[in-house]
Amino acid sequence: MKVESVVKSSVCSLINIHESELHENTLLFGQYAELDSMGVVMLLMEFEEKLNLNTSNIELSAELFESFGSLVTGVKCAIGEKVN
Amino acid sequence: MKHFIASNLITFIVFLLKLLKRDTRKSIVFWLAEKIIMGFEKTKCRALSNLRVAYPYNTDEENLRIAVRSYQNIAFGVVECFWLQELEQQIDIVCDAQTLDILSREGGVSIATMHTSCFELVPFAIQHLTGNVTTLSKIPKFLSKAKSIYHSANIDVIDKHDSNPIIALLKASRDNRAVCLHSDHYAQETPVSFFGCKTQAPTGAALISSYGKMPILMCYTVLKDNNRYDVVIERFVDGYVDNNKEEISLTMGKLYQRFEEVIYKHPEQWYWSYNRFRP
Repeated sequence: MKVESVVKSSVCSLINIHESELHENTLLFGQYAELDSMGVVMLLMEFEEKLNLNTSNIELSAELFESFGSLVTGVKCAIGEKVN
Repeated sequence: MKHFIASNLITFIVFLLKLLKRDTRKSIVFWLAEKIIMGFEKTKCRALSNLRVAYPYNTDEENLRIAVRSYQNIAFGVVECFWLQELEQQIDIVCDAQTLDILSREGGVSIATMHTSCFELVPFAIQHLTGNVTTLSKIPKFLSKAKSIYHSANIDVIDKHDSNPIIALLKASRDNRAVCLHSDHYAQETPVSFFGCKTQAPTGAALISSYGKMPILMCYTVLKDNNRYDVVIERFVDGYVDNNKEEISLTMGKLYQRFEEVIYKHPEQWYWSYNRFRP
């Protein structure tokens, strides 16, 4: 649960939407101008800091940032947490 | 069909040029480049407009002389990309021992480059020094064979037209490669001041440094009168850029100040005919 809430808060803060507007199927990449190259790097480094995660373990791909759900799944896999 | 014809026409012209000695190739390209910039009003006006920003006290004749020579140097540099391997003996690396030390480390490095003379010599030279280079290039659709030029020089190239090049660049950074990025063009990523004008710049070099926790070097090429190239490599950030937007923006601002100094030192090497200052 912690992973999901950290990812949610980071994404919402970056793309400036309320947490209630972000759902598993919410599309990210290509939908928000804020999620450009700098946005992607900022997100990854925020996960590194808040989740004590080594982003080298994240499988980087465009699919990772496709939706909020895929991002949570990717981050969970990177820290070895069970994905539902 | 259009791309097919253009691609084969270029291949044929390059084939013909390669039959000639390098001095002769240069004379032909310089002659042609002068005809192009003097004949294409848009190209000439854009160069003069940029030069007036940088050199407000120059006469138009003085600025036109710089515009023509820079266009010739860039045109020759672009054509020389087709025989990069031949240039191996024409390069003088200009850098200090600490820069070489950074390049010899295994932690990777972010390299900010500029559009001067044969700008693709930068990844070529860095490949020779590190054996581990990745570069980003906007390969024209009609020139898909261009990828083979990079590959034959063992340069890993990411095409800007590919989907999500940022992901590929981050992977290269994670693999501790030397990542070369042109950094002097227009991109709506961060505001900078360039020759006293407010404009926008790409952030790639600083982002890669921040993400990969790697130093930034600055690198550019200069075509000398003896037809040899200086590949100048300078240290810019010895540690790495902190992971916040302000620091990334500040780094790019400082980089642009250094770009200005280099351009003032070598005004005939930089590509002036580019729409650098946009509303």
